Amino acid sequence: MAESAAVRALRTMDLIPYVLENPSCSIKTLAKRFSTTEKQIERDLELIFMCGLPGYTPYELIDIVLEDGVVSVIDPQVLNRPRRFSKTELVVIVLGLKILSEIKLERSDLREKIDKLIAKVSHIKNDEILINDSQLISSEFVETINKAIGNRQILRIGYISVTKDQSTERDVVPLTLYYSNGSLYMNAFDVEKKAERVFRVDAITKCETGTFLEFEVNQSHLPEIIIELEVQDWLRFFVERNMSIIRSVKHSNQGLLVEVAVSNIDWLEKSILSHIPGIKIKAPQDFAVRVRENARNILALYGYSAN
Amino acid sequence: MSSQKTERLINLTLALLASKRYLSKAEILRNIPGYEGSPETKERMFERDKDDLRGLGIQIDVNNFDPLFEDEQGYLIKSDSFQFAENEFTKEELLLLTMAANLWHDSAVEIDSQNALLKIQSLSGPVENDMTTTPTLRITEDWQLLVSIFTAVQDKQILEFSYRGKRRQVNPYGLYSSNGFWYLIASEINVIKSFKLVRIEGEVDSIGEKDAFEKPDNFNVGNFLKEESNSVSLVSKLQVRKGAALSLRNKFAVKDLDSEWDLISIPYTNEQELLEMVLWHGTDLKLIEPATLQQLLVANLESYLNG
Repeated sequence: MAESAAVRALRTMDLIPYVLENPSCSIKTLAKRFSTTEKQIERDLELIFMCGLPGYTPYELIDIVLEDGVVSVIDPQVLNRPRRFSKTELVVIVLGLKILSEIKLERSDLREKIDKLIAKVSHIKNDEILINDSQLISSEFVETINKAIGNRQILRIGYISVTKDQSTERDVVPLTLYYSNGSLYMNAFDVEKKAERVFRVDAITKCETGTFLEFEVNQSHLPEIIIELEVQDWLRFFVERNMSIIRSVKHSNQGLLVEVAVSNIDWLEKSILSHIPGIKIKAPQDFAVRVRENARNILALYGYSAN
Repeated sequence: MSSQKTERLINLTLALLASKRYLSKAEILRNIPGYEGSPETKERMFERDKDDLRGLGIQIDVNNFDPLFEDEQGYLIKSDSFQFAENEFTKEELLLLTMAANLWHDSAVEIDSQNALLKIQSLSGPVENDMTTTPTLRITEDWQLLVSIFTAVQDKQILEFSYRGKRRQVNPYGLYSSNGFWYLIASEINVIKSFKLVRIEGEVDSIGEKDAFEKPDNFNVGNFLKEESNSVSLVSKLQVRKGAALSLRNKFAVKDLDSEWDLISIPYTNEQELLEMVLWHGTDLKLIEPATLQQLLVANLESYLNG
């Protein structure tokens, strides 16, 4: 969809304070930073060159110089400072600050500074938002993992796989840490498997630092299986929370018809069982039979059998 | 899209921003290039331009321009509502803002965090930071919904939405996250409740003006959650198969029952989440109490197997 004149006007105005604070910026860099094409940045700059304050003599126009693909601002007129955060940007900033104050607890002075900063950028009061995720607050291995990411060090971890219900010891080199769906995950290179694996940090039971490791990540991914599911409307969040595995979504009378691609079929089976009776398997049939068999076994545990 | 309109919007913004006094419509139409045609056409163009800019969050103030002619209005963009003040943030604050914007790693939020980052860099130039060792965040809820609710809490605007099959009108008091889910705390007919965002059906509408209600003086999210968790301290009793459900054994104490099973007590606040946890563990975990939930679990399994 073509952008509106107003959206283009705002981006064009945003260019000026950015170039002013980041002098000798190339057209190429600006295009990258502002997520548009070099041609569009050139057009924007040509346009703003014609703009200014009433009177519109050379003294009142915005003055920029474009030389060898590098932009400099000579006179920004009133555009010497950036626009305030938009509604959505403000949410990113305030929630981000709130989370920072939880995970950077080792510096107690920071929490107070962050609270002051939130009050400065928004009207939201400190007691109106609470990040209550215990994992954000007390992940005892985060510091060790962070250091190992920086140093590319091996960690020997004890790990309980919640899908396989097994406890193992593994040597891994952590690559990134991220929060998703309320859990903290570590993406790491598994030394024995010579491939990347994802670990839930709260399932790590032991974490010891080892030596530095030079390695090449095996890019080959695990094979994926395509499964068709029918998800009832009340479980819409199951779809929203697992967007990374979802290939397509269609509406049906019963809810949503969803096609997922998974490498970890055990995880999917447990997820479907957890949400009984909200998710039905449309295909493949052998997987549907396997999950039904498991559901029947669970029911038998309570002394009942299905008709 | 014509560059003419973009140029006119930029010139209009600059004129309203640079002026120290309210500008009349006549002055604007006379002095800003691009307003052409009959008086009606010019007026229509100006009305549309104002709407476009306001639609993107630019605050255009309106004031009675001439005390003798009350219908003559004047327009102004206040600098402090449009752009950041000079030296508004300290170096350390700019670093914290950069870190907060850099936390997000998700396609829906990334655009907003990148835009926020551009504005921060337009104040500070490139900021050195230690982001390599800070976890990133992936948000899985509907981002626009979170933004609407955050904004309503900030602006004290009444919200209307459907929740558990009922249309609700509430005064939003605060937001909190727990186990990766976001919750709205709001007063509905003078009762303070929490609403899980993923269970809100469809869109959320903001109704009426800002500052539409007063929050009780003693209200804060932390206290509300404390009271709620004190009043609802439910405990479930389960049988866990020997050697299985390692992640639960890691968190909760178990008692020996017989050669096949151990006993475990797990506190819970949400019935659906307890059922999901029990089913996740398949035939390794058996729900004993509460009996009503055991019946519901059996009914769900039967409905799945017979459906």
